[in-house]
Order: sequence, then C-alpha cells, then structure tokens
Amino acid sequence: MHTFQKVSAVFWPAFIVSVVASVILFSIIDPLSLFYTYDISRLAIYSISFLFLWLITALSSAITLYFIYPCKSHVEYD
Amino acid sequence: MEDKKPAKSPKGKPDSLDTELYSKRQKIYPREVHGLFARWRTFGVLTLLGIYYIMPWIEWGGRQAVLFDLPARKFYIFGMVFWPQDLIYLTALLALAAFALFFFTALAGRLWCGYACPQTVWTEAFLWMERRIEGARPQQMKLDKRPWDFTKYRIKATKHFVWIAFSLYTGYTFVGYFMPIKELTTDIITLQIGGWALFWVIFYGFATYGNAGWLREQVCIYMCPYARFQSAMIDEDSLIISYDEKRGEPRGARKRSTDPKESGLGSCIDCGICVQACPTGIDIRDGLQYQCIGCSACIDACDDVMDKMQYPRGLVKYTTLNRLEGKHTHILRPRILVYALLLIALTVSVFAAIINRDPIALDVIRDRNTLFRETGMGMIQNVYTLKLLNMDQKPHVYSLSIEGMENAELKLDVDKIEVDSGEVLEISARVEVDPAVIKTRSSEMNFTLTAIDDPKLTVTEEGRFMGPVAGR
Repeated sequence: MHTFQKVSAVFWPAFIVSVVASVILFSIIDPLSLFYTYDISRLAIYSISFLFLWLITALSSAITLYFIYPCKSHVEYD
Repeated sequence: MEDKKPAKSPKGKPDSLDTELYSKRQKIYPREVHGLFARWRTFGVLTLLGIYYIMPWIEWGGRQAVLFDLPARKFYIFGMVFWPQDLIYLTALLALAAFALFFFTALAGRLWCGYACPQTVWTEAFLWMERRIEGARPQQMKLDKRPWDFTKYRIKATKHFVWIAFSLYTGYTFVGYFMPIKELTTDIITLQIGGWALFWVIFYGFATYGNAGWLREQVCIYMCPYARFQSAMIDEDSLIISYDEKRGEPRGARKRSTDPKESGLGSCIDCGICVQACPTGIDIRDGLQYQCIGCSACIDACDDVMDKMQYPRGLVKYTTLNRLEGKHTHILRPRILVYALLLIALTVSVFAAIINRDPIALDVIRDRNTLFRETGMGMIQNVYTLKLLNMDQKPHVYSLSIEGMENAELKLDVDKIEVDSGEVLEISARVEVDPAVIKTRSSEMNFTLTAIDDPKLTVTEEGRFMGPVAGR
C-alpha cells in the first residue's frame, strides 16, 4: 500500500467515527452539566473530546492495520 | 485490498495489481475542457460555493438564518429551531440523503461525484486558481520540470498564497455556521478570537488546502467509501460514461484527410486528450473503472476532437451497458421504482414529522457564575435562565411550576409568560429552598411548562438545585 493509503486508512475512518461519536455523545450530554464547577466553555469541551476520540479511534485503526499483515515468518516477499 | 483487477491495458504494458498499488503517485495535470458538461459543472460549482459562502450572512427574523449554534446547543434553520433531543431528525435527514444517493446512482451513475461532491467542487475552484497562476496544462508541466529559480519560486509562492488565503476564508465561513458569523468576524478584526474557534478555522482551512490542493483524486480513490460500493448500486441500465469501442477501434493517428474506412481505422485518433482531461488520470477507453468519478470531462474533450476531425460526436458519451451491447435500455425498472417510492415515502414522513414536532420546548440553564446564594430571609437561592420555545402557529400564555424539592418557591421576573408563535422567550427564574431540607449538594428538580389555554401542550425539563448540605 502507499504510505498515503496507510495514513488515510488509519486517520480517516477514525475521523468519521469520532465525528459521529461526538455528535451522539453531546446530543445526550450537555458538557456544562458535567463541568459546571470549572470555567470552561462548551466549545473547548467539544473540541478536546473530539480530538481525544479521534486519537483513540486512530489507535484502533492503527492496530487493525497492523493485524491485517500476517506475521513476518509466514510472509513471502516478492 | 482491492480485489478488482484493473482493466488490461490495450498497449500491453505490465498493468498488474502490484504496480497499480505500489507505483508512486504521478502528479495529474487535468487539461481544461470546454463544452456542455463543463458548463454544467461550472454552474454546479458556482451555485454550491455561492450557497456555502453566502448562507451564513443571511438573516431570518433578526438572527442568522442557518446557524448550528454549538456553544448554545441550538440549531436554527430559517424559521425552525432544533434542540439536541431532535437529533433523530438529523439522522432521518441523513438516511434521506443516502436514499437520494442510491436513487440517483441507479439512475445516472456518479452524478454526485462529478458535479456536487465538495471534493470536486473545491478541487475545481483550486484548479481554476492554479490555471490562472501557472497557466494551462503544458505550462504547468514545464514549470514543474524547470529547476528552482526565482521565477518558479515566485509563481509557486503566489499559487500557495492564494490557495491558503482562500482556504482560510473557507475555514472561517465553516466556523461561521457553528457560531454567529458576525460575532466571529468582530472577534477576528479585534484580534479577540477564542483559541478553539481559531483552531477550527485553521483546521478546516488546512483540510481544504490539503484535499483540494494536494490530495485531489487520491481522496476519491483511497478515502471515499462511496467510490468503493457504488458498483453495487448501478446495473446495466444505469447511465455511465463510456467509450464506444465498436466505433473507435482500431484506434490510430491519421491525417485529417485520411478516410478511416479506406485505411481500416476506427473513429479514435488516439490523441490521448481524453486521458489528459481526466482528473483521476484514467483512460476511459479501458472500460468502466472505479476511479472514474463521472465528471464527463472526457466527453467534452473528445467531442471537441471529433468536431475538429469532422466526425460525429459521441465517441465517448453517457450511455448504458445495455445500449453498448445493442440491447434496449429500461429507465423505468423495478429498482428505480422501488428506490423512488422509498425516497418519496421517507421524504414525506420526515417532513411531516418535523412539521408535527411537539410545538413546545423548555430549556433550563443554570446560572454558571454562582452555584447558590443565601437570601436575606435565610433561604438558599439558585438562579436559572429558562428558554421557552413556542413552535405552535399561535401565541400562548403558559404557567410554570416546579416539583421535586420540598417547599421550593419559584420566583419569576415576569408576571405573565407569553410567547409568540415561533419565538423563544428567555426568562430568569429564581428557586428558593429552606436550607434545612437540602440533603445533597446537588438535587434534582423538574420545571413544568403548560399552556394555559391548551393543557395538552406541556413539557417537563430537569433542573439541578445546588446548595450547602445542612449540618456541615
């Protein structure tokens, strides 16, 4: 695979999934009801949560990508 | 990962799966084309970009007409206001969009990709800028081959400067859909833009610059899921762009004066202009390929060549697999009828559901600055902002009550709660409770809003009462 294809296979599905997850999460939960004692804006919580979700979903995609390739001892490179 | 074998190249080059997947990406310089479909695409690009850039500036009833106000958790779409609990309508609209995509793909192939996809629309805009700055395809290729000197630096720097400026403006407009664009503009001019707003302007701007300036067709080939499964939605009767092999072959260069019949040649003069025009760099003469985004640039390019050769147009054209094989094409077929019926049924029910939404809503927002305060009478007081929404066609007078807290007293700063049709009323409410009955730091409490003239119109929202726990 191209390097580009690998990079997009990790970060792009993770991006889409974390957008969906953020929308669902924050349609149920108003972040200010959780963080009312802190001086933090909704936008900041949305943003940080989204970036964090993106990070962990990208990690999941990266592990998937890693497991797609068989163990080295069985690979016959041509 | 791609199980589809690429079509065998007629020139006999080793076009195997491996070379396709492992070869380095060749930069594509799409040739500018003119013609009927190019005009349609320009029309699509200008319309969609126009809507995108102008929409946030349109006012409706004294506020931004389309505003997905994330910081306030309210979505305004012209006269309608949506709340987070209305997510189901967004889901329904997305399902509707998916069905529309199925329907149009079955009918006419990748219309979406060729004329309306944001990737196509912004790439077209970026290509237009690139051509104005670097020149046409041959000049662009010459510029890239030339060693880095002052002129090359100057031209490339100009291009990227224009691209980045346009991208940042795009990012700013994008953020303007999620927070009031006038406030955002003021914040930018006075250099008081919030960190996260600035982050998203740059993030979206960078995504635009990267996708439309650098990645282009790679987004369609490697990142777009629709490109991978669209083959499941088309059949022998769907409109596709195809080369008429029977008429074109055997292809070959010839003088304009040559009679193709005498020389045994087909109509294809093998000029390669259809390949040069292709934004994804494929050769349409190799058959139906998943990289083809259905932009029809090759049709315009080939028709132009056919005109010059004084051959009839349509060597590359919109057609169906059935017609290519000389069979009859059925436009009205079960698949189209089923998709159309589902699409109509879904559209009607989604819009009926939106129109018949509960015409009353209440949003309870706690005062964020103070958790609670003690009044002169020794009571614990919490302050709330209540947003009352009347989605009904007529004005109503409402009554408001609270439950869940013992002996709680509700005090409003208005005598009469009256909300006009389609309006949001914001009132301040104070709830006072005897500290002796407060058992937890945070107690649940419900606000109930009921229309006096129509008790069926009622809504209950949860509020939270904060106070000191007695005895501590």
